[in-house]
Amino acid sequence: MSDILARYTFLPSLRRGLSTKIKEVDNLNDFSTAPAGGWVLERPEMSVSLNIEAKKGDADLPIQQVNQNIELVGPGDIIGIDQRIVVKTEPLNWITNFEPNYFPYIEFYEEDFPWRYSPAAANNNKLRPWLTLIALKESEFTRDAALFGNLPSILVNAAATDPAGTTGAASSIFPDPAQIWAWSHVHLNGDVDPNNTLDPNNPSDLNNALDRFRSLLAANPDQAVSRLLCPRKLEPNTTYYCFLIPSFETGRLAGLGADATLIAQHEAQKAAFGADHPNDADHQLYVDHFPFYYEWQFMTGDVGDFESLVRKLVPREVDPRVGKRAMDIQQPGYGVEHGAGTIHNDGVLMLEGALLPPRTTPEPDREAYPWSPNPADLEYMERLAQLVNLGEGLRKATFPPNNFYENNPFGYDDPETLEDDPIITPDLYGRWHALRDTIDPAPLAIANDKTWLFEANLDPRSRAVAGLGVKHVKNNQEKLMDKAWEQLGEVIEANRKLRWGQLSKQISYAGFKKHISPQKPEQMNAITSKVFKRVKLGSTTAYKQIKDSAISNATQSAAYRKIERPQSPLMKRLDPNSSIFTQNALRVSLGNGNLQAVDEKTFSTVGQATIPINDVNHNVNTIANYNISVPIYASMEPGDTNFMPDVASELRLQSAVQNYQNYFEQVNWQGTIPANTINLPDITNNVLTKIDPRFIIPKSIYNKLKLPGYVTPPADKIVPVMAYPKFQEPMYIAARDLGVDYLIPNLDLIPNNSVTLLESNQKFIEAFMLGVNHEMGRELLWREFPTDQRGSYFRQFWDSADAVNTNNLTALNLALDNLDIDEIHTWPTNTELGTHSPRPGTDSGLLVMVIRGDLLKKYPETIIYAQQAKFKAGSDHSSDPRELDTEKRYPVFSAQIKPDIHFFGFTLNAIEARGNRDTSDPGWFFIIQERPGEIRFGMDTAGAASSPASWNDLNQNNAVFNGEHLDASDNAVEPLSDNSISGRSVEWGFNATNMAQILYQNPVLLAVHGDEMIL
Amino acid sequence: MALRIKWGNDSNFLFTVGGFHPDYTPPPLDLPELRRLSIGLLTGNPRLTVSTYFAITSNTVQFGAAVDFYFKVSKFKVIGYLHFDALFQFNPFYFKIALAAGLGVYVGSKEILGIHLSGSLEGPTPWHITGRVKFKILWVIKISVSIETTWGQTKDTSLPDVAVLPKLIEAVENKANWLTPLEATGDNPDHLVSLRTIENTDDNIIAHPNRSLSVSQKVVPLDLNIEKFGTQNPADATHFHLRLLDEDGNELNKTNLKEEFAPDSFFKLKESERLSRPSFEKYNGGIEGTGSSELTSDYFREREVEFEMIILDELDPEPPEPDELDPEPVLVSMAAYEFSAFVKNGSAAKSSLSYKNSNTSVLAPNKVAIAEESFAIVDVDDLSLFENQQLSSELEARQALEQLLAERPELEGQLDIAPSFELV
Repeated sequence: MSDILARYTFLPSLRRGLSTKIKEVDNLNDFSTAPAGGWVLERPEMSVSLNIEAKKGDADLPIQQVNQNIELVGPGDIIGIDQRIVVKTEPLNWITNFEPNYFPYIEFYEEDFPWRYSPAAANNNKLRPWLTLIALKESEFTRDAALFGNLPSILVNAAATDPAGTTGAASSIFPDPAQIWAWSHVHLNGDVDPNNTLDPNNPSDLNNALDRFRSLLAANPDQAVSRLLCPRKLEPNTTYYCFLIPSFETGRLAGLGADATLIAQHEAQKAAFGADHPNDADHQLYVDHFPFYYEWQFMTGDVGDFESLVRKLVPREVDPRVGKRAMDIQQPGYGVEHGAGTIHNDGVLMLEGALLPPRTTPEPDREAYPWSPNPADLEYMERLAQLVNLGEGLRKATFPPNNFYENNPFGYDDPETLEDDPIITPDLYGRWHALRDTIDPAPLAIANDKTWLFEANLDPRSRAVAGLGVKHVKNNQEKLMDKAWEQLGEVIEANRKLRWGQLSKQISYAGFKKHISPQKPEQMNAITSKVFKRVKLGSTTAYKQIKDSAISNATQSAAYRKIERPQSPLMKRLDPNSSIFTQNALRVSLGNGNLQAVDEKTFSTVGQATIPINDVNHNVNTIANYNISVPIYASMEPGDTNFMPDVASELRLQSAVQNYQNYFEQVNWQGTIPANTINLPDITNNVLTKIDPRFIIPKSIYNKLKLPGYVTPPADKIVPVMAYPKFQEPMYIAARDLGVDYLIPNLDLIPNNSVTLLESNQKFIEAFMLGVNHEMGRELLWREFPTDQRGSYFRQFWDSADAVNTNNLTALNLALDNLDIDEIHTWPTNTELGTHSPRPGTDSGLLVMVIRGDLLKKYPETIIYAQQAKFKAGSDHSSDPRELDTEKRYPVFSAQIKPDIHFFGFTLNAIEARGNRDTSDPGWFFIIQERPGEIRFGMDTAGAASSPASWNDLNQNNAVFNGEHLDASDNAVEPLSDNSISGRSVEWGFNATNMAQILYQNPVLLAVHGDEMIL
Repeated sequence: MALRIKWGNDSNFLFTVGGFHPDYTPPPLDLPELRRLSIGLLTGNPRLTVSTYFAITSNTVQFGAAVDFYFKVSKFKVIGYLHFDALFQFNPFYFKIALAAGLGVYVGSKEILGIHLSGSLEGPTPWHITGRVKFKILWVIKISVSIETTWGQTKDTSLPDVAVLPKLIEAVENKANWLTPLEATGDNPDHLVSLRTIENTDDNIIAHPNRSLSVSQKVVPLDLNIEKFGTQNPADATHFHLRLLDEDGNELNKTNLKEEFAPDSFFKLKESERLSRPSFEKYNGGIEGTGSSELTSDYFREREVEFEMIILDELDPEPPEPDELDPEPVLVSMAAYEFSAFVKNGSAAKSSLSYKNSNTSVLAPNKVAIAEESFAIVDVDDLSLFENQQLSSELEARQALEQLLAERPELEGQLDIAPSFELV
């Protein structure tokens, strides 16, 4: 087979948190060499140091260290466990035929539970759990009548074989306290080493394996459990009582309600059993008493293995009464009566359950809708329609009609009463899904309209079934609503935020419209420039675009705006008629290149240069040349030593200045043509669009919400989140819990140890689901859940959790493929009830195999599927045994009615399954097997006493027992030739995983041919 | 009357009967319009009312009383008053007491005779006193005297130094500051066992083996550069960081714990910031360390999933004799996809604690969640996230920005802080 094969993983112990840092190593009950400072008392301890790393400015100061000793909660603090943590006991409570070759065990949901409070660190992969499972015979203990502390307790008796004078605590009914590490392990239904390359002794390989373990567990925490075995050799036909007791003395005393000071005297690691209890004054009261956290009982039997229980099954034809019961429809009340004459079949309709005997042709037993065309029956339905419409009629303004007070079914005779005491009328099921307020009560419509809305509402059978659905929702409204809210997360808070956003958007937009939009574009630039850094236009911010352009960012600053404001000293001096030198326009002109700035460098060097004027022909009298040696923008005042004004000089100066100006204009003082012109008004407008509250506020609000996978609303709209919960719980359980007779009437007519066939009744399923969904819609509205009531919250009727993912679908698609009804709002209005199953092949009703038997009492997790049979090559088709072919068909759904009835829905009909030897049709085998993951531990009771050749040969005679219990000492048992399991060598007593591997017993898979299973 | 107690992120407390001191702006706690508590000793004309108020807030006590008198005869009226208001603020300590009294005779709205006194005292140092006396008789005599003085030494604006580190050490040495889940509320780590009453005294720290250990203090915020310490200057250190180590010196996995601190006590805030920032903000106050939050083990072993296959072509209610059975049963293994479909509904899944029972259906709509607001340091050129610096509060973002600029001055002007949503 090329498929990846499944494997189990075992771990010897599992811990997390501070317990991984416990100082003291498990001494395995050997107190002979005390560590320095003595054994830790009462609670395990660890120590931590806290480093304070301080800095002054950038300089590091010396690290200050504060040390603290931490005590951890230990077994001596525990006085009870939550019983829910126990997921399974093997055998189950009150099983009377447990095979004595197996060891009883108990499983806990939390994978680290048995070691969580263990007061030590693992010693060479060996860590004693803080709980021990013991199985006692009736004669070995007495129950304490009165409670010592919180927990119930037992007094154990010393065994007859024990040396005289020893107390019960030292008795052989307890496993060796030094070896209890061997009987506890973690079990994972998964493979931590898919390539089979990791070595558990190599730390990095171990880490890889553990990483995989954690990721598998994170994906589905149900995949692993922790388990405690009781390795006691069981006697046949004996009653055993299993007790989950504390492993450590502190735990025993705490469970018995001993004083804290007494508990504190004991070493944290001291075992609760295996040695005499001290009998001093303080302890006297507690000697040989053991509190227990959990108990169950069972009896061993001779036969009861899987195979023999399967062999008991007998195929039988189903009793035709199964699945139906009579319903009297004559007097439902509220004015619904049939017309003149007798109603159909003396007023009896057959109410059908979710499963019916397989259809035969013709179908005399099944009554279609409408069940009768007689006027009496039609009037009955018409009255029912009127009653259903009454509620909507009352709600509408046109009501009540004139004659209402004379003949309404509620006896109201005046409007006042109606106001004080409102009428509650039957509901119109599916009204929101079908978008209908009322149902047409006209006799013609009733007689001819067989669509699902009519049938669901006007057929008393469908109404009754839908009513069951309603009842389920009403009974479980709190739980369902909790789950509904949980599914949607913080939807209320999100919607509140959205409403605030709507308000905020409106207010901001009003302000925006009033104060910002009407501004002149130039002015707008001044207003918006503050946010340029925060507004992205294209790939860069507005700020960056200005920075890269001809104008300086300084033009966006407040200081510049001050200079530019109309009454500023500068602006007052500029030409008031200029179109360029006005507020804001200057900036725009600078930006688009109309105005050019002078390069700063040119400007400054020129300013400081000394330009000899004689260069430009100004030979004036005898006076020396004029030199302009001050920067041209320095003030030149009379009295300045460089400047001696007179008329002639003045003229010469003018000419000099003229030349000076020409010089620069022509040569040196060119305006720099800006490289990047920008259109400032455009940028401003774009920025304005970006900060428009109509867009920016929805954006900010939606960004505060995480709405994965929801329809994105338009950018400028804030709309509330609308969603509805979808539940995957199979609803057959709801019907079953209301009463098995509602689900399948007369089920008790199926005898024990039988296999029969039934057929799934889609009409029942759809009516029930309609009721559930309808009521859920009402409930959601009532609880102000954001919904339009048209959702299909429940679509799973049968349990398809076991659906095998053969096509490698996503979890969602697999779930969608296994639903029992289409979304109700998509049911076409012209279709009949019972035609809306998305499952292929349901039109004719799915074949359902019903097994009732002792098998399911003992192995409630049994699974079943079909596998094609084939004839052996060259065999005689008429008589030779057939063998298994490869094709498999898994049940598409299953259901259980406790304790012993299971249903499996197959897309396989009886004829196919049986096959036919005469026509060489091999037919199908049904594979009945124990559910993988539900494993067992033990060894054969009988067998040779000589050493086993391999671990498979281990039996109660060649294994080593220490009294009644298996001895887990190193290599106490050694196989002679082969000690490997699944390709790895496994040694006895090495650690708990090895013991689990050695004691693991292969479960059984039985292939029973269809012609043996189906009549 | 109003009582407001607010827990949580911006905790506050306020209790008032009859309103607040006129100079006090109450925090925005959705207060109704508060009217003075008043008794009308005389109603109508003449009118004599006594009104009073009393308020306690998290940082102040305020009270005051007023007596007002009004009497009108034709065009003449007599108005008298006596007002008293007191406000005490604790941290930093400050008080203001004001007293005003007066009596006047009016014709219409014109005062013809009157005497008015008012005074206020503010302190402590510098003390500030104001006083004013007005005296008026017809148009003849009008005297108005006012005094206003400030005395006493103005508090030194340079803050005195204080060593912070010893205070922090003292706080973490205090076992009461080591929180263990035994004290933690909410998520109970022991929900699957019942514990006896444990004397968790301040002499020992009892922690839960499956969980973490945390130490937390409210002395000084961690991992931030503090600028002051209460009203003083930190002398020895300005930045603190904690690390929790096990015996072997390995750091325990760490998460930061937030505590509420008053920003005003640790950072020099501008007046405007003081008004706009909440009085408490959450900063790192401690750390939480676990040995390992992951499940760890020290060994593993695997075993193939195999079934002993028995084919029963003819079903017989009586099992065959043992020697009729195959001596070596055929072992068949199981494909992983088949296996995983079946194991997920085993007995563990049926437990009420199971994931199968508690997880949300795959059909369920996606969960709606409220995102934590975050602030980003952005490049002003293209509003892109700068070096992935996204922080949970504006203050943290600002501090990170300051630090960045201190380390790399060339970035000055190139970075800004924006709420993260603006980046999208």
